[in-house]
Amino acid sequence: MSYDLSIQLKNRFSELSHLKDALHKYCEFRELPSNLVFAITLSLDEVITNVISYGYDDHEEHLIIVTLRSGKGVIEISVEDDGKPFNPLEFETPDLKCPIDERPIGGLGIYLVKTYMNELEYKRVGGKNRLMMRKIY
Amino acid sequence: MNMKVIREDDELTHIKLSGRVDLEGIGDLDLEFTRHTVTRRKPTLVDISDVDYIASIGLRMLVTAAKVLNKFGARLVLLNPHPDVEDVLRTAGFDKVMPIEHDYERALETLKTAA
Repeated sequence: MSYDLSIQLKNRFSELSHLKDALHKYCEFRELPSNLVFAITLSLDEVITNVISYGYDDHEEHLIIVTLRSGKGVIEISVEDDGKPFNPLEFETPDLKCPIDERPIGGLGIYLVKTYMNELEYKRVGGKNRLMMRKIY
Repeated sequence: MNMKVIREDDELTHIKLSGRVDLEGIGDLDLEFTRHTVTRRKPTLVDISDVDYIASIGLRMLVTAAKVLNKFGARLVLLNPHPDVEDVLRTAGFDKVMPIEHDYERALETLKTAA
C-alpha cells in the first residue's frame, strides 16, 4: 500500500467542495465503483463537517489533513485535526425505530459513517484527533 | 441543489429537488424548501430523482419537514430516489417516516393515506 492522496483543508465549510473535487478525480483515476465513491464522499463529508462545526472554540485557522490510500479491495482514509478531543466511536447510535414525532434531528452523520465504513479506529495523539476509516469493497 | 415547484394547490404540494443535497448545495434553499412544504401544510410529494448525493444535513431538512407536516396530518412522500440516495434514506431509517415510492400514481395514493 502506498499513500495515494493527501489533502489539507482549512476549517471552513467552503473547503468541502475542494475535498469533493479532489476525491472524485482520485476515485475516477482509480476506477472505483460509484457506490464506493458515494460511501467515501459521504463519510468524509460527515466527519469533516463535524470537525468544522464542533471541533474549535476559537476563530483561528486550523488545518485538517485527509489522507486516502487504496490497496486491493480496501480503501483507508485518515482524518487528522487539532480540534477538541472527539471519539466518534463513543457516540451513541440514534434510535431509528422511534415514531416520527419523537425522532431526534441530530446524530445521524456519525451513524452513517459507522454504517458505511467497515472499520473505524480513533486515537488522540499529540493533541490531535486521528480517525482511521477502512472500507472493504 | 435546485428546487422547482411542480404543483401547489389545495390538494397537494409537488416539488422537485436536483443536484447535491449537502451543506453547500442547500445553502439558503432550506428556507425556500420550508416555505413550500411546511408552511403550506399540504400532503407533499418530493421528487428526488435528480438528486445525485445527500448528506445528513439534507436528511435533516427532509425529516424536519416530514415531522411538522405529520403534526397536521399530512404526509411527505419521496419519489424516485437514485439507488445510492435511497440506500442512505433506508440506512437512516427514513423510509419508515417518509415513504419512498418509485411510481408517480402510487406516490399520489400514498399521499392520500393519513400520516
